Amino acid sequence: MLPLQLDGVSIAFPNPPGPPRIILRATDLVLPAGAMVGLEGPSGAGKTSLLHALAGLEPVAAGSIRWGGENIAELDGAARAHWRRRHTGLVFQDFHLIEGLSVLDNVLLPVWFDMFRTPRALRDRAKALLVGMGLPMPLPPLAVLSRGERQRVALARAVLRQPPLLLADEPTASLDAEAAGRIGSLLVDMAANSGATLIVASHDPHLLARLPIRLRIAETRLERLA
Amino acid sequence: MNPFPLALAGLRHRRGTALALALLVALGVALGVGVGALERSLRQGAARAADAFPLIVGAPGSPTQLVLTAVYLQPDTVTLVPGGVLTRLAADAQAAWVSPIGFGDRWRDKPVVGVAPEFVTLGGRRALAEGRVFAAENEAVIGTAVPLAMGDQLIPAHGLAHAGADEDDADTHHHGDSPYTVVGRLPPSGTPWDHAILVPIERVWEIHGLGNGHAEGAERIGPPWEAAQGIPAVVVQPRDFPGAYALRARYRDAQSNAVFPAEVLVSLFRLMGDVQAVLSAMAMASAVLVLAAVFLAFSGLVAARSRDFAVLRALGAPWRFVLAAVWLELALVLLGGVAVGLGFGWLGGWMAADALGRHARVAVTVAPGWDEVLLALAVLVAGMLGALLPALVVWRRPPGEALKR
Repeated sequence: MLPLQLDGVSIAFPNPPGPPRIILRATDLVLPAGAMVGLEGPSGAGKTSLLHALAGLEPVAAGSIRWGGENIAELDGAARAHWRRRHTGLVFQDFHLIEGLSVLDNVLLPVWFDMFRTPRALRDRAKALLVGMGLPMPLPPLAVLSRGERQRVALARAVLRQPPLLLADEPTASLDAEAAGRIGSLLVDMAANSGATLIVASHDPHLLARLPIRLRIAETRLERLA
Repeated sequence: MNPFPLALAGLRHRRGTALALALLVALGVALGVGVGALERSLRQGAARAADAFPLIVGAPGSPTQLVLTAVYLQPDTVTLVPGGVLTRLAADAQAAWVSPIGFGDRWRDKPVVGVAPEFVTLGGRRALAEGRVFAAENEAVIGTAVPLAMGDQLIPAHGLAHAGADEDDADTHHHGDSPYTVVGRLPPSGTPWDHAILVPIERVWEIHGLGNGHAEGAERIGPPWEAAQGIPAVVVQPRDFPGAYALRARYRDAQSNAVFPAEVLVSLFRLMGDVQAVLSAMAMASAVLVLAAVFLAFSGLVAARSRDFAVLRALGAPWRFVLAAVWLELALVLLGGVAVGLGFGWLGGWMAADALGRHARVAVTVAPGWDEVLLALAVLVAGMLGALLPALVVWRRPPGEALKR
């Protein structure tokens, strides 16, 4: 639901003792609200770094990143965390669930950032999401879930509060073909239903094929594929 | 904001490590608490034992030995104070009452101690738990820990009670001719006197073939003693405060020495205080070492969870939430450890004090004291402040790195 506008964005990493490693050089890009974008490129080209920059996880070396008019590149760390909390849902290759928390609590985790008590409506929505994604009921302990099931829990966590942006980093790379297909469908359906802008960094041709806009990052350049 | 579920999840997920850490903290705290509680209770128990002994007069020599003999019934080879001193004391206008303390024999492991009737009631201050004061030479009043009943009879055996007596001399002693009859019982005092059998001093002198301390033919019990014999110590109750000092001054001469047990105990406690200072320093050092070890382990714990914390930040957690979650996890470990350590310390101190007290026949009670609570709180506060460090380190690390790894 948020349009994206990049102006002269450069991304670089300090790489001591050598000069900073440049990931992206002076890049402009405009994406409409609700766009569904696949981001591809060779390993190590900087897909994850770009995604982190778009999510405000890492600062950029130069340029502006505007999501619906708000330039997150000029926000400080705390303000970016606040912006992230309000606007983004993130999905990672390795799920990054919290061991020791129950399945439901993993989905509800972001709620605790702001609230002491979990509102009933959010708890119900979390359960509904898990049921809708086909997780067994009653919910088993986190430790016994398969990788595909874990990624579905992570996806439920990302979309719990209906963020206008969904960012996914290789969401299917550590899953078998069947689980990958299922996660891919869920991800695209979720974004389509809520109208969220979706950006997926991936190598998975099946997943990429379902995304209308394709970007490719290679050798510090970001290009739009036809 | 609600960081509790996350902190609890961390503890649950690594419960072995968390438990080991809490135990480590508990041990360090218990050591400090135990030493403090033990020292305090021993001092209180020892001081209470001296309550019945305002002034003690004995032969010139070590005041400490005199106190050990009269208060704690631990006669070493004691020099006797001449009977004349007792006669003079009994007639002294500044003494409310006096009583000799003379060691007779033993009945089982209970010492038979010759005293005056005034000592049994402390001049009327102490009511008996049972029965009455002895009124004849063959009657006895027993301490609360002596396993006899009113009316029971006992025959002491010539024993260890007066070291220095020559065993070959035994035939010169006339014990056992007639047994003692128990006529009274003292209330519990928590001192070695709970194990004593109190008999008239006259009988003790007679048994040793020294007459009964009175003029020929007299069969009285108690002062005055016209023909008093040597005894290890005399307890004196002064009439008033100035009298106490006057008496102490008057009976410090070539024949006798007079001491306030409380004064002697103070100097003993000063020595004990030095020992305690060393023990406390060691306990503190161990607590510091334990805390240092715990911090190393905390850093490890935090490093092991750095990915979790990076995930929190990626999901947009505010810094205070991450800080609170990390800190809370460590603080809960500390809190558990300190609480258990406080309990362990008191329990350990109590057990040690009980064992030591039983050995010395002094009742020692370890009551929880504020000193130990303050020590535990100090460890807790230091630990909780220290726990902020790993929490801050977590915040300073960029989240992206941990996520890519």
